[in-house]
Amino acid sequence: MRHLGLNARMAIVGSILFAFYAVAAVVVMGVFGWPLSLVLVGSVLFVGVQYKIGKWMALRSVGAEDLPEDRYPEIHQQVESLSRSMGIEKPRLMIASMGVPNAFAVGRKGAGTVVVSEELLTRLESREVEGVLAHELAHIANRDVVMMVLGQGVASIVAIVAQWAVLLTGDNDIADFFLAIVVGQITQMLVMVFVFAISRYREYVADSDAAGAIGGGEPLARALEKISSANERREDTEIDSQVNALCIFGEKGGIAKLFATHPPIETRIERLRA
Amino acid sequence: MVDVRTLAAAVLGVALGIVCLAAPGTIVRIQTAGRVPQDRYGRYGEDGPSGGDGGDSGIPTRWIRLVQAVGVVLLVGGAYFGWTLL
Repeated sequence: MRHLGLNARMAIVGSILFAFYAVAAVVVMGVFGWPLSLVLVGSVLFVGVQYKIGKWMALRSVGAEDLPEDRYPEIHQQVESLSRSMGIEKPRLMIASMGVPNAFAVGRKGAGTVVVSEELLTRLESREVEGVLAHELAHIANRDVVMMVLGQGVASIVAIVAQWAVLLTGDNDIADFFLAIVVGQITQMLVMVFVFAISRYREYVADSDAAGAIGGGEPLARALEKISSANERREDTEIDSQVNALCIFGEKGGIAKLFATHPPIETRIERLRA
Repeated sequence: MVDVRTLAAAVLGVALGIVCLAAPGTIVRIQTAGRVPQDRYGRYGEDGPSGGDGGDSGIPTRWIRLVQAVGVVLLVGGAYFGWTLL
């Protein structure tokens, strides 16, 4: 069975998210008297709007433009071939100047878009770019973008319901309003822990699929290595890194690891080369 | 008798305020996950907010400052509700 580990993890995380959602739905039905059909339609609309706005915003925020086929024929050929081998339609290809080597995928199977930065194409060799493209296509093929939108949708709905539950059970004084906002945020964080956990695993799966599609993990490993080594030269001093690793807060250790969408880059490189 | 909801507002407000001040990038990530692609900011293969100041992470500095400002409000609010319990 394909992606057995991912399916097992998705079953566990999906059940947890469903449990959160079910509790929120029951609260909405009980407190507001909404029928189940209205709760479901409202939820689908909420997530759908998030998905549409998110895709539009992502492309607009980087100023992405269509990747011209006459200037980048090799990339178009690579994506066409990779899409065929992954069993998906060729996504729309776009390019943007992001200031750093980067690439991301938005959308879903059949309506996907892959954006690459000019800096990525400049810094990486052809095979490495192919590895990156294969990884992004794997995200589309595995519906990772949609899963993340769904996860955030559930987290947001549960957070909103938690806020209202606090408000409606209180005396409507200023402490209740404050508590409602705080509880909403903390609830969202709690749900997102599970969403991020599965997101990190999905990165490994996308790496593995990319390696399978291009016949080995070395090109993608090299791409990650190039980008991260350039990064290390520019970023923190060794002392900063040590301090960050020891901190519960901070942006690199403890809480940040819990809420990381990507696994450590070193581990990904190791796995790709294993 | 201590009002439990006011106590919760004080404790949770201060706790969330500290997180907002100390790890603003993490808060931005939680709020933006699934709304914008997680590879959108920062470098390829990394989480967007790699730095707290937003400078090298690609996350707009104003987002980081906004979260930190919210953190200050939460800290002050939490402290106020704690003070009312004394």
